[in-house]
Amino acid sequence: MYYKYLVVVMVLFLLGGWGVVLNRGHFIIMIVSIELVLLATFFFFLINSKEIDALIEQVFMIMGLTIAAAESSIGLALLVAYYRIRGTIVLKSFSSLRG
Amino acid sequence: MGVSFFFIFGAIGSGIMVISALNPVFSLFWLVIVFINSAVFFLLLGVDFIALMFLLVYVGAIAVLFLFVIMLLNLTDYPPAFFKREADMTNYIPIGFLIGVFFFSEASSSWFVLGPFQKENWDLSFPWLIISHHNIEALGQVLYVVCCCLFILASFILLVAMIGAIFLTQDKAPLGKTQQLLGG
Amino acid sequence: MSEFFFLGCSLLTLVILGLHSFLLKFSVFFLLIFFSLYSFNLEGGKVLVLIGVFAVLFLLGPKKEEQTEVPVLSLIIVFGIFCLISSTNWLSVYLAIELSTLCFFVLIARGSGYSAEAGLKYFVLGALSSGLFLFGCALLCGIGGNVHLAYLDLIINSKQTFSDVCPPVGYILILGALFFKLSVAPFHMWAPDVYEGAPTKIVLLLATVPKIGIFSLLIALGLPVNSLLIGVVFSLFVGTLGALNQTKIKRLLAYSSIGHMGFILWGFESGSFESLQASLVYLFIYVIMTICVFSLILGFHLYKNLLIEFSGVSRFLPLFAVTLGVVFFSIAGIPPFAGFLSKWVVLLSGVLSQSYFVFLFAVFCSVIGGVYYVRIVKILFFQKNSYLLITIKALRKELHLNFKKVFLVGLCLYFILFLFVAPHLGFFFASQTIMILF
Repeated sequence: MYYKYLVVVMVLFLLGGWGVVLNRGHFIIMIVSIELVLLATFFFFLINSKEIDALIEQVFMIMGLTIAAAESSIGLALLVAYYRIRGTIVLKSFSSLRG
Repeated sequence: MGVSFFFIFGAIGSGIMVISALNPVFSLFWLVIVFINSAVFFLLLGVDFIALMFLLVYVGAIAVLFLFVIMLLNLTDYPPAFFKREADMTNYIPIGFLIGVFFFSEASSSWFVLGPFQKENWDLSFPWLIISHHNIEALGQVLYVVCCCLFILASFILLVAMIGAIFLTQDKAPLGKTQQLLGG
Repeated sequence: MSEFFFLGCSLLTLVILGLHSFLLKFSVFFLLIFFSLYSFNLEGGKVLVLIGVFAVLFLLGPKKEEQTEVPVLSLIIVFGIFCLISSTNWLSVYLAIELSTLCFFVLIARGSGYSAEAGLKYFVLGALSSGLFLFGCALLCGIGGNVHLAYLDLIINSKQTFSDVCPPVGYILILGALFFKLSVAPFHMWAPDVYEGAPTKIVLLLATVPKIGIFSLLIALGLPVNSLLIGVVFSLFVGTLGALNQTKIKRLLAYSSIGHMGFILWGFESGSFESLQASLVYLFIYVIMTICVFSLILGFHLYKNLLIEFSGVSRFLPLFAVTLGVVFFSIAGIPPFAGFLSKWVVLLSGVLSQSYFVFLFAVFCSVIGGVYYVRIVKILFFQKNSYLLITIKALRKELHLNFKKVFLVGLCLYFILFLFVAPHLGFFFASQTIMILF
């Protein structure tokens, strides 16, 4: 009975994917969009958990929350390291690794 | 029904604003609104502990971390790529359209397959027959008993995040500023 | 969960590494190998992981960060991969993959100026692919109703109406994420950039250890054939054509590893006993050759990682040139060396499972791929010094080969040269490993 909310899951997931693609130049909005993807996945886990009445998916969601936090902290640390070297975060200056 | 749809549309609308905001700070505030909306929806879904923890972790920790980094590095004046004139996004339209159709067909097919067979029970507060544990209690019994090894594994992941953040941002010999002989 | 022996050992290593003691580190590492071989069932994948990480820890230099953080993160990677190899449900698979991937984000980004960029690229794509993996897990778990890996087979092979709709999507998402980690071709875009930008020792770790874990996961899943075949064909194609025009050695090795991944995946795709055995032998020889090549490159201290810097090495370093030539011949698959053996067994198993078109395609690709490996050998032996590089070479008189690198190169070269003479032992261990699975 909760499966109608799958549409919401798909919309949030696609919004996250589009955010990564459309904001290719901007690293911080890319991380935010990845957070949106993870949010959609958590939605999906909880809906599944209520639907099939299994608690393991809520545990899965908690673990996913942990990993999302760790991932975003490491991503921001990478951002700070990159900014310290390059002085900018626009990924258009990514062209030094080519050819 | 009405209440949950309000929060769901709030989440989707704010999600659209997240990926299209001009300023990263605004984008982050919209992200906070997405999180609050979805946390309220989780609360309506009946998973109250997870909803509160979601609010605590995401809004309290992650969003503040993002804001802190944005303010620290003064990144507020980088508009997204698709607002610039030279950014050509038209070649992404077909593949984006295909992926969108793919996922929506997934969602709608599962909805249409499962929907008609079930009673139209639009009430979110589904009356459970057996309720013996609260959400936090039941989660604790699964998380600390069945999945105890995985719990330790997750703690290892947080340890890695801590080591990594310190290791990446600690000062070492200046890199980009010095002239490096013959590249590097 | 015998992995928690390993966890305890890793924690112990963490504590002892706080003392900055070199001798203690390696004694603890040997203790840890002993524990892992003793308390785990001896699976070939774990042994391969240990070989790879032992090479990396052996190569670490006397710098401060290579004495403290890098070995700790490498050991945590090994812990994650071990958990991945022996995990039986999606939750632990996800946690184990993420544990190793997060360590790699950190390790790649810490280096010269280019490595921060490489780490950022790897982070964006890796985080997105882990999101896709989690979404696929949500789809599969929502339909199977459980998080165990065995339910995947139940979902894919059942005939119910609902399962015709959703599981392929979840399966495709998960397979895409795994292909990303393996750098198999439709998801290979990160590999050349990351290989070029990251520190060379970390590239050695990245090229061997996580791929072994992901391959063992692919064995543990039931494999639908057609979706893997796409990855096989694409990565053979990309690994051949992408490397033709490269001027930098590490980018070339990245494309070469993409091609090797195609071969190994083809063995898994065939799915018979012989082909799995052939793939494991291929994986072992791939690890050996990768360790050998990267320790040689580390010893030669390139300035810009250009291929042209190897020109005329045979004049003043004949033995080094011969060694590098042998290794590249082996990677190309020239007969008396180990690389030929691995390619031969995989192709043979492919013919036995009657996939002739892929066989022809693989032979075609490896013939074309021979061109650029032989080109390196030509640069090593027959190309004159270009005048631009004379000043660079004047600055560099000596090799940076110390005892450790020479030891590793010698050990690997022994396998490369003489595995063809008596390959029974490798096949025996591979078949023992496969026997656990069936």
